[in-house]
Amino acid sequence: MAILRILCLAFCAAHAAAQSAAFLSGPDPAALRVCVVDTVSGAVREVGAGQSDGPPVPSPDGAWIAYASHDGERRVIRLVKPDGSGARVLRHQGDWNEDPRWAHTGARLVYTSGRRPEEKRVAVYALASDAETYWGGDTGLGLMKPVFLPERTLGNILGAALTLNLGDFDIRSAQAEVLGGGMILAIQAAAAEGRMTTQVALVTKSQVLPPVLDTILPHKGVYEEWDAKASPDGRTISFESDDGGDRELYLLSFQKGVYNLTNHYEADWNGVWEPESDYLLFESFRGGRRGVYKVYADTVRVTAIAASRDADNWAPAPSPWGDSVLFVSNRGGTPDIWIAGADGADPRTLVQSPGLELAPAWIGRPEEDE
Amino acid sequence: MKRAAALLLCGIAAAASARNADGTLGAIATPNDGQPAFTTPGGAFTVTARAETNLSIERDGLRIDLETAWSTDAGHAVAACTLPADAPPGLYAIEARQGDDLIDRTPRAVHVREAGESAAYVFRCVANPRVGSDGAAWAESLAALSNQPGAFILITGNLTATGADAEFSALLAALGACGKPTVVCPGPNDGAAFGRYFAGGPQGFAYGRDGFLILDGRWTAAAVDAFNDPGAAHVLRRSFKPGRWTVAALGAGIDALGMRAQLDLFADDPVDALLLPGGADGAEPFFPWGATEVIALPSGERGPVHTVRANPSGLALIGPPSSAD
Repeated sequence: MAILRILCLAFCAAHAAAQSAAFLSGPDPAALRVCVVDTVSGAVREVGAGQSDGPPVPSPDGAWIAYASHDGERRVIRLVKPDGSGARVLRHQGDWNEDPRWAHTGARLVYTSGRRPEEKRVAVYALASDAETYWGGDTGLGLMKPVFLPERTLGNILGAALTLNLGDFDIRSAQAEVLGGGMILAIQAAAAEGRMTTQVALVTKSQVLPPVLDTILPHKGVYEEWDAKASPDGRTISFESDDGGDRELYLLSFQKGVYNLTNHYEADWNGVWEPESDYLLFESFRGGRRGVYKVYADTVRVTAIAASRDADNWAPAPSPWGDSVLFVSNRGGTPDIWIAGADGADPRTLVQSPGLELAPAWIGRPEEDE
Repeated sequence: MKRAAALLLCGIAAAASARNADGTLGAIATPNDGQPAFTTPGGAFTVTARAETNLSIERDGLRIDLETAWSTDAGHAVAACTLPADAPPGLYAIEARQGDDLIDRTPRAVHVREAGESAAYVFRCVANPRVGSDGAAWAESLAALSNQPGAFILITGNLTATGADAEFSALLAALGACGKPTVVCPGPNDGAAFGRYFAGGPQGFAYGRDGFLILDGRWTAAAVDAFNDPGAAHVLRRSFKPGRWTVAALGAGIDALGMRAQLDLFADDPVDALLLPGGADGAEPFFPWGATEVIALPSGERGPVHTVRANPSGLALIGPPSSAD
């Protein structure tokens, strides 16, 4: 155990100089700008356009940061390197583009796109060819929070879908398309019982699949899902749902089925996977104020990471190196970026100003440093 | 820190200064003349300030020192204040002192109403006033409402024409002409300047057994999403669990809220009523959620003024809107 700890410390020390994170900073939401902070020295560099920049999303290899931003009357996806160089704007068909996420290879981006803010199609951008393609076909409207699915998750989903009764839907045709181009997990707005609802949707290049996950949720009825994403190892899908009365984190395990992961009478939301897929960090009111907690996917054990009675703590980002966590806290009077050990120990301010500091995201991952 | 309550009758008029000299917020953030506190004799309310001070309320020369219990919340000094049981009803200024020195005074910030619950009441609403650098017309309009029925005046949507400082000065002057409590809910035009004159971010207040959530409409959906903070609406919604109705006022169209915030407010724990500023054409605003009663407030030049009734059956617009003239 001691040898393991020494190796771990040596590993962390070797990578300490390379660790950096992107975040948003500005006096108000209209002036937010993407910045990069060296998490060791605390040095901050402004790299974003500063036009109501959206949350920064670093590429898997840490070479690029994608973010949404205004460009005149348009909302565009911008790319920039962490050192501020290479800034470019993606070539869009629609004027309103938001919420970018990287494919696991870093070769493609997926985001919502439309002529108007409420149109919300799913667009996939191939960086090598500088080409944007809308996915989902004619039914691909009202789609939000899109993410690419890892290959392992794809296989699990297709296997599960083949055993479900989907009416006239030809899952085998979708299977061929998915194996060729991949699949996207998204949230789709839909109508049910005379009102709007949201559900987890599977999107291919040409269609939106029937709501497969709804058929295996624990309770029948109309519930609002949000923020679905696969675990890094591809074995499970986490999502939020108000099934059960308040907002909870659910887990779809292809071995165990669907279960309420956080199950508490206070709301739980914004689950963020750590790189090894052992646990999620999430936000909850269970401590009285909004705090950051950890829940293990296998034992559903919950521990507090950043929770206090006199301030809010939110937006957790577990380190790819496993040694620390970033989060936002307003315990200093305004939202600032804080850093703590992976278990929440020794919290300290990383970036502080009289304005807003929000949406921290680590840059890079261990594999790319080696 | 606690201070014994004292009822002092001041022989001299209180200092005329209000807020900072330029009208921006001083030592006291809330309550103020656009974000008032509502309470009853012997009741309680909360003050948010830059630092601990001695607090009192003042009206027509009557100064009432407040019993306060200070704590820290998100880096701000927060005082839980208790009124004496014999505090006369009325609309008071709030004052902050260091020793005997008055360091801040905000008029019309604390409304002490008659004790005893009122199961039914009305309040008045104005949408999108877009006050320019000359607020005289709106001052006349708000003054005219002083003697009409209505527990308070809710002004929602674009408070100012462009968010310029001169327009906020004119807005403050117009509010000062009103003899009733005034509640402001900003819209997209009001921009960053709003935060210098009123407390920024979501606000709320309780009126009797009802809770009112004031949803800042200054930022577009994209900017709200930029916060990457799906819990913000959660926090606000959770802050008010009234015994009866929860009413939300939004300073812009429904798109000013991101989808995640809409789930919080209209699906997970639906508010009972939503007050939305509307266009002059009276078109019904798009609202796709089922459980919340939407009350559209069409706007126009110098009005109109809408009347909303709250009673055990719910909230509803009553009668045709009247002119603010």
